[in-house]
Amino acid sequence: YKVEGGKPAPDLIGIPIETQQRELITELIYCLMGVRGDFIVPLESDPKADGIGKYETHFSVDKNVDKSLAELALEILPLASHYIGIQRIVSATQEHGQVCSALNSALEELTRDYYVLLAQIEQEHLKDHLTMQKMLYYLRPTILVMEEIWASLTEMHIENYTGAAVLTHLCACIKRLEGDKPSQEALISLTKKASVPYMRVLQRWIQKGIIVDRHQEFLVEDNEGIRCDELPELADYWEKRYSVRRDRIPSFLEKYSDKILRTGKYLNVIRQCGKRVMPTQEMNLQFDPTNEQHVFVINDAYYFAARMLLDVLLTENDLMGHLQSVKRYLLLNQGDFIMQFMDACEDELAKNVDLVLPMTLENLLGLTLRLSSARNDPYKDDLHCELLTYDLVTQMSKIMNKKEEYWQDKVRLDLSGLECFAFRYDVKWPVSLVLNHIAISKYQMIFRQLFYCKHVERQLCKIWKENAITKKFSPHAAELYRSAFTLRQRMMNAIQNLEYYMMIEIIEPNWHIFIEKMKKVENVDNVLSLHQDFLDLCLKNCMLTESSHLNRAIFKLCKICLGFCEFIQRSQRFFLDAELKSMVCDSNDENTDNSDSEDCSNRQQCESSLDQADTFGERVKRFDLEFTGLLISFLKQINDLAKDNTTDRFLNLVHRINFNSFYSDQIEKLCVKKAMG
Amino acid sequence: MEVLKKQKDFEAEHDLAQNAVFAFIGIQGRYLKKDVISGRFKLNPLHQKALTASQSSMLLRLAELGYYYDRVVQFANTATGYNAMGCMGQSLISKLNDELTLFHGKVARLQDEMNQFRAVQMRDYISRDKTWLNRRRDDITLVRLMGWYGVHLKRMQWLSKIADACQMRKGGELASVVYDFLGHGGDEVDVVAVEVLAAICKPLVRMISNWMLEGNIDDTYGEFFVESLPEVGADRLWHDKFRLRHNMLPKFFSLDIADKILKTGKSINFLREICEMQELVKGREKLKEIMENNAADIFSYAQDTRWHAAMETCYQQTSKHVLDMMVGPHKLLDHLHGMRRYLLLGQGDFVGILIENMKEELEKKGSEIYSHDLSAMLDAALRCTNAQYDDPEVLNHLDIVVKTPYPGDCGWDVISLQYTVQGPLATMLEPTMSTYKILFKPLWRMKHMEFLLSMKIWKEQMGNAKALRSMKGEIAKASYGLHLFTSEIMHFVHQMQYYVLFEVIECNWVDLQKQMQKATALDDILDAHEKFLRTITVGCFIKTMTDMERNLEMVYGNIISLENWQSHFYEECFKELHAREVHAKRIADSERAGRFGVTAEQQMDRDQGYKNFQQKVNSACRNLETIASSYEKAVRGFLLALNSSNDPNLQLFGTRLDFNEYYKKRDTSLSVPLT
Repeated sequence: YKVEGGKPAPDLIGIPIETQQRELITELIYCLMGVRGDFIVPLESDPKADGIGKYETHFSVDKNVDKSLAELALEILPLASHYIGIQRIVSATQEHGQVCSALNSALEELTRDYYVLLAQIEQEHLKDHLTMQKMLYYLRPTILVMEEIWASLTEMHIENYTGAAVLTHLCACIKRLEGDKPSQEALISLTKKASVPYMRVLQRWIQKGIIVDRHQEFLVEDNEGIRCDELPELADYWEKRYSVRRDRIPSFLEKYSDKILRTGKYLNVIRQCGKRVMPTQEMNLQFDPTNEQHVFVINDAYYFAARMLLDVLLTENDLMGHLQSVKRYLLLNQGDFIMQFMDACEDELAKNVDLVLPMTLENLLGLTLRLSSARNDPYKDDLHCELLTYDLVTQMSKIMNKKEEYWQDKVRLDLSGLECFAFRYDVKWPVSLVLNHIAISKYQMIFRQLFYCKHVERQLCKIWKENAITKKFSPHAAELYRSAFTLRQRMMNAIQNLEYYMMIEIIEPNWHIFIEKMKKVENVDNVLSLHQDFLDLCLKNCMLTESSHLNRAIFKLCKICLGFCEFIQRSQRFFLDAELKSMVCDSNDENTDNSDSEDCSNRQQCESSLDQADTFGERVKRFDLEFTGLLISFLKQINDLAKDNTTDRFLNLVHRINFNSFYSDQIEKLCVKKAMG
Repeated sequence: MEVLKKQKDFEAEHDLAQNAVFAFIGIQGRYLKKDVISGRFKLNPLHQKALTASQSSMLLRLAELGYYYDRVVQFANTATGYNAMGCMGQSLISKLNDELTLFHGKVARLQDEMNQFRAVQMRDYISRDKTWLNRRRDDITLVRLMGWYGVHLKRMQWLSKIADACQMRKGGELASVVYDFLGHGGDEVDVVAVEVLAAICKPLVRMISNWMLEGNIDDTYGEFFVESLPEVGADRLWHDKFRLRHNMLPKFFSLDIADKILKTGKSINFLREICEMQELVKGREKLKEIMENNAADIFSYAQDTRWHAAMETCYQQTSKHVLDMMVGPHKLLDHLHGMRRYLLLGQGDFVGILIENMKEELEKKGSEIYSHDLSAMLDAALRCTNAQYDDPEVLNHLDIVVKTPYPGDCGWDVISLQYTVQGPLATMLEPTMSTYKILFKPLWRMKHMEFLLSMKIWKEQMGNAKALRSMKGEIAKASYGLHLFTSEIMHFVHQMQYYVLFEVIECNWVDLQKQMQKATALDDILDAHEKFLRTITVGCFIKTMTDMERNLEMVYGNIISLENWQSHFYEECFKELHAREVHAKRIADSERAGRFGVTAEQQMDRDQGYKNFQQKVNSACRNLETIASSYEKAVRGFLLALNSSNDPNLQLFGTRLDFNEYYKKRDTSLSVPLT
């Protein structure tokens, strides 16, 4: 700022050069403190200057001063310019967050050192020991250092960096000055001081899991705001609650940002489980650009938190027990339970979904849980029934491509309870971290497929049981049923092998691998990813991914089987009556003499039954054709897929269903036909 | 000459420095004068001429410190009215004064240095040692002052900034304001803010420890965040006497902590005043020491400092103490159990006997009942049932009361059981008593219905069936309808009773007991208890938003009218039966007398009577049908409300009431799908 001194400036003309020098030095010292003098006047800064020029000040030296002295003065004056520039930046970044404030206060300290230096020079000057040369000699190192600092700061200010970006920038500058030790050191000490508040926030986060970040500078962001005391319910808690702000990571933490985020997240979860987080050792987190000390501290904190949370999950909340329990129910691991449950609920589930009473199902479920061997499971009460409003295929397509909205309008007409049924597994925090609703819905998808197949199998078995009665029939009558029985047997074979494939070849081994891996697991994210991998693998190998339309094929196969069962059951009643009657007739025949009239009537009866059987035979044939066609194309699809991708195990299924090359010819025929067409 | 000029220069410069040093502590000098309006220093125009431009701007810069010094002085002086208030404000002021004193010391040392130099110089001057001009060392120049003043300027700036923000504030609000200065980032600023806040919090910490350990509120200026309401008496001490003063709650206290603090002090007060206990917290001295000596801990970001730990210990100990007190000597749990058994009809045999004893009284008009008769019956009931083995202390609290009857009320409506609590228990349970009163009513009403059904309707039916066998032909239709209807109602009432007594009350009671076992503080128990009451209030269909309560009342109304109808019906029947018997006897008499036959008049009379009776039976049938249909309507409404509620328990109850879908088939609105 410009203050008018009243005292006129001494005239320089005609003064001996020593006196001139003295005056000039005094003036220079003042000037270096940013005070306006008489001989050395700052030029008006160029308003058009942009970039770095804006923070530069040029001076003019009075023309009456001896030329050589003026030259010397101009050598020194950039220091004043830098000093003024730094001061300007400091005052401009007054309220720019913690990092800037810390940097500013470090700069002020630097300024104080600078003042001390100037005061020393002044003392020297007062003792008349100083010449311009000497002064330049004294100041040279400072000039160089100040220039670098000024340059870095200006750049920072022009880019309007705040918070972490400042630190990043300073680190970059330090790197750049690798050769220039003094300046580098000055910058390093500045950086150290500037990073103190940031590191303090970081330490609080990785040690206690809390964020105190008034200026929104920290790299982790709490998206929840005030709701931290309530228990989070939603599954996306883990994903969404805290997030990393990419633009707020200082470069030296870039690599560890993920670790940092997770450390605090773990700590928060532990805290929400009602446990006190007590770090074992004192943590001293400081950033020193010259070494990597902070990395060790961060790593220690991370391992500590990860270990602790894993302990909480695995030992205190028995995650594995819960997973076992989920597998038991949702992956049909517990045979007797599921059988009993199906026995109990079959009637209810066979209704249209609108008529199914969820309460009844829930009651039956509770009953089954307590009656079957599941009653020893401590987590059995977490299991609940759920009726979804769409069937499996719809669910799949909904998940895979959200565009297919029309599905929603179309369905919801003729779904039986069975198609909509699924178990739900409710878990409490913090187990819900792993068994979140995404995971549960994946389990549900597998469950629904298995459940449906199981249902079909049961229906087929039921016919088989009822069909056993035909053994009593005469061989001639039994002939009629042969085609139907072979078809039934083939269906049974297909369905059972499908089930076997899914449960024994896919789920079991994968589960085993998963369990093995879980024994060695180190942190919760690992647990999550392992679990997800397990589920995805199961889904994929159970043909529940939309890329192949296999699940639709399975669904159709099941539909045909059910249709067949229904048909057989319907005709059964009629035929059984007929056969029994004829058997009664036969026995009558044997007792009485073979009279023509009776024979005739008998034949008539046979005729009529044959007549029926004709249509019966035809229909069985139709079912047969349809089924075989579907199965063949299904197998074909698998074959094709397996050709492209040998890692999947689909092929096992083909070998299983087609174990004695029963269908091979037909498949080949289809291939040929396709090739021809 | 040159020496003289030099000396003069030197003198001038010295004068300048002296001026600046004076300005540091707000004193005007030769060159610097204060601006009257802004309070800042400006150059004295009289002497401005003597300064070079650089000197004057330097002076002005240095004088900035003086301005902030003045500001701080202003805030530190209570007379100006710019200062903060209350105890905590006082500690802020004394902190500011401390700072000023320190600063004075620094300036004094500076001055000393200057004087020393001056003295040396004077000596030299006197000894005419001309060399001194060349030996100028250690002089205080403006440039040196520049180096000196930076630190102090910043400190003064921030002190004045903080003090400025604190104007006219007190207590927790003050602390919150200062708290906002934390985390600025700059090193010195953080230090200043923490120091100031620590100073401010000292009285607060003392108040807290005093409150938590002694239960006293020592708060002349209304700064503490707990306040005691003097007009609330000791009987409401636990629930209403103390409360949080939210605007005085410093920002760095979460509500949770504040609540704990409130409860601790409250417990201590409770123990002292209601239970008349002394010697409350073990290791009090130590806790007190920790709590008072770590003032800076209370505003730490992470709440795990020693202060917090001590606070936590104190809270836990005290609440444990209160809990032990209530559960132990005062038998809180026993009393709760007692209330559950007697007021919520948990003790079946007792209630049965009581009703049996009071049968006549209950039937009477409300205005004819006197409570002293009843208490004798209550005692009798207590003595002859299992209740006699109960703790006499619990039994003593049980009482029977008669409300002032409204016209038309009978005994059932006015008689109720009551549980009177005294002493500490009353303090605890006072607010829940009204809930018990409300709860008792529907339960009692249900008992009433059960009594009507079993003791009146069913018993009469069974008893009269035999007597009226001779008239079976005439009344078969009516009695058949009656039986059907009765069993329908019985089903309803039994299910209802089962639901309320078992599913609602018993299940929740078990939950409550679990929670009581787990409780670590008295408030846990009270909260659990309150929750229990709330749940069963909903479960007993009281004050629900839907019209269940209304429908239920209609059902009950129908039961009562059925009872009336039935007694009326049987009365008619017996009248008729009697008339017949009389008639038959008359015939038999005449037979014995050998006259054979009755007069035509008598026969006509009888025929007329018979006709009348038939009419009456018919109209009774019709009446029964109306009752039945209105009953059914009520039940349907009730079921509909049940089915459309979101609570699965209620839905289940609805399913059970309508287990064979009898109502569902008769009412289409009930068969709307639930999914």
